Amino acid sequence: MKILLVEDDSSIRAVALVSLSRVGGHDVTIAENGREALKIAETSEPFDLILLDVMMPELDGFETCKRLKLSAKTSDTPVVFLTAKAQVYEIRQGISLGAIGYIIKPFNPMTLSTEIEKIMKSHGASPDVLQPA
Amino acid sequence: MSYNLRNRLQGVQYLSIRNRLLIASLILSVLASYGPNWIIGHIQVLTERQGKSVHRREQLASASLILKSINHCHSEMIAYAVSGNSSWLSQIKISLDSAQRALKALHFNLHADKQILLFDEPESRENVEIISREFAAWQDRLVIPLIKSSVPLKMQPYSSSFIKSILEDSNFNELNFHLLRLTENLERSHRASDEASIRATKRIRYVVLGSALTFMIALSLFMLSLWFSLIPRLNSLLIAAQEIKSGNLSYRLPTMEVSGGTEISTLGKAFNEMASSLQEKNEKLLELNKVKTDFVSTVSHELRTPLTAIKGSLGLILGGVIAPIPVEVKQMLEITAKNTDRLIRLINDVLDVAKIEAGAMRLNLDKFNIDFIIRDAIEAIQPYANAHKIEIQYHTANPSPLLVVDPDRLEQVLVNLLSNAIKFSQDESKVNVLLKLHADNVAIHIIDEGIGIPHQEATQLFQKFRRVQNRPYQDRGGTGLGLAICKALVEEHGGQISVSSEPGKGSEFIFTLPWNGIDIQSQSELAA
Repeated sequence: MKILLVEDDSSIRAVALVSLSRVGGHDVTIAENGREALKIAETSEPFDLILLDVMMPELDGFETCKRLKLSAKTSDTPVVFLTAKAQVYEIRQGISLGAIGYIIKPFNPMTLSTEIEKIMKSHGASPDVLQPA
Repeated sequence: MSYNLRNRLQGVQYLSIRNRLLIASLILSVLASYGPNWIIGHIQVLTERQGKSVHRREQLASASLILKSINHCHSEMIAYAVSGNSSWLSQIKISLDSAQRALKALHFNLHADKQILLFDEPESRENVEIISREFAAWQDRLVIPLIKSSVPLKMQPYSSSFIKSILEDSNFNELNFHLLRLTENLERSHRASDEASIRATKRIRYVVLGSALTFMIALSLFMLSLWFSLIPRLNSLLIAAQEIKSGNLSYRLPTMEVSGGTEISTLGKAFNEMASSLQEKNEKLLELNKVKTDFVSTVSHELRTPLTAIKGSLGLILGGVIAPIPVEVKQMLEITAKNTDRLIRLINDVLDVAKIEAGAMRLNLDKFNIDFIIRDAIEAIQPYANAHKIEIQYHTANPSPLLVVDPDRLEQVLVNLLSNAIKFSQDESKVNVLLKLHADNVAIHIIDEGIGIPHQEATQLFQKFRRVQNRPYQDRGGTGLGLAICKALVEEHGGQISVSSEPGKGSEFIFTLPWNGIDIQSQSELAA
């Protein structure tokens, strides 16, 4: 599927990119921060999933998610948060903003894709969406 | 001008209770001292009048008696003179005697009167003098000689001229005339004083009534003033207290109600100051809390970011995704990966402890089926159990209770306890998990058949940094924080954790979680 990855740390970005594309076989687009993510989401073809880091400077994950849900073009795209474990209580807040799930950092790069697929399946995504691009 | 007056009237509302009491007691004490004084004065006047009227009645009686007696005497003298019958003489004596006595009484009364200064009609006094004079003259000239003159037993009628002189005696006529005048005067003043007494009594009654009424009105006004000014102020104080209680710490009583020096204004001012102090302290506390939570979040993020990158890149290499790697390289990298995971666990523990210490540990509570959580935990630990060929047996309860818990944290506790159970057991032994239902809680037992815990260590097991010393399995790792975190998490849920163990036989960890005894998910619901 077509994934938009939003992550400000370059190392994690590189690892996640390899994990999602090589292990999961998905088509991954990268955004380095919230603002870039919004721009890309507006101008590109709709994505099947947006993987959103929470702790980012300037525009954090929650604010980005809020704005994505407000825009007609991106409001239907499922959002999954990437977060460090300490902030689980904030994630419940994130769910209330419209995200469908969360992945805890540090994640296992070999199972990242399967975990994402599990979340999407439990939210009614059709099987062909989950197939590798 | 009217503005000033309105201000002044409004100002009355702000009279303190003390001042109101002073004013009220001033009015009442004036009433109290003046009223009774006036009443007593008038009662005194009344009693004097009573006394006076008694005197007057006596005087009247005496005067009437004198009148009657002298007229009897007169008639009897005529009768004697006409008949010559000497038996009339005794009657004459009796009548004269009676008249004399009555006159004496009148005189006595007259003199007694002087002390009370009551005989205010000089005419009456004059009358009495004349009466006495005329009586004495009449008595001496006519009556006594008549009695004294010895009349022979043979009846000799007196001459008609003598009778005529008795009839026309000037003293007698004067006496009669003045006695009549006296009686008339006495009756008239008697009547007048009666009327005056009645009027005075009426006046006293009105004064008493008036005083009582004024007293009532003054008291009522005082009460009303308290009611209308105090009650609304107390009400607004009550509302203010309720606002503060419900969390609105910025609520204050309006300036109008707290200025002025009355007792309740002072109370209001103190209340406002208290609210300000509360608000300030609360804001400081919230700020402090925020700083603590921010710190933990920031540190957590800063530590986990590089670890994510390390674990991620290692995982990809070991997963064979990047390029094939020689076996020895793989072995080394596996050491790195294992220790990275260990480091991650350590940091998780340390951050958990930091959160607990900072009071920033917040649970995400919701109703969950506890059975599912236990099964998830067992599933998570299964690889570790399989590696040591340890069998985990789970004895669930039916029906499964629904509890208000944080599922992630509860799973953390279970995984920790199961991990310990496996760690300190011999390979191929068993670990039992029991779910037991009680009236107001559920208990989860984790029982292993491992090496057990020496008694003196069992008591300190849940403290931070405690690890069992001198153990054969020490290199299996552990930070010493796990059980302390379990204890904190269980207690945060409102439960308790305990351990019983016998060295060489095994250990049993039991923790409880509160349950209302009602909420369950039956097997039929699960099947549906």
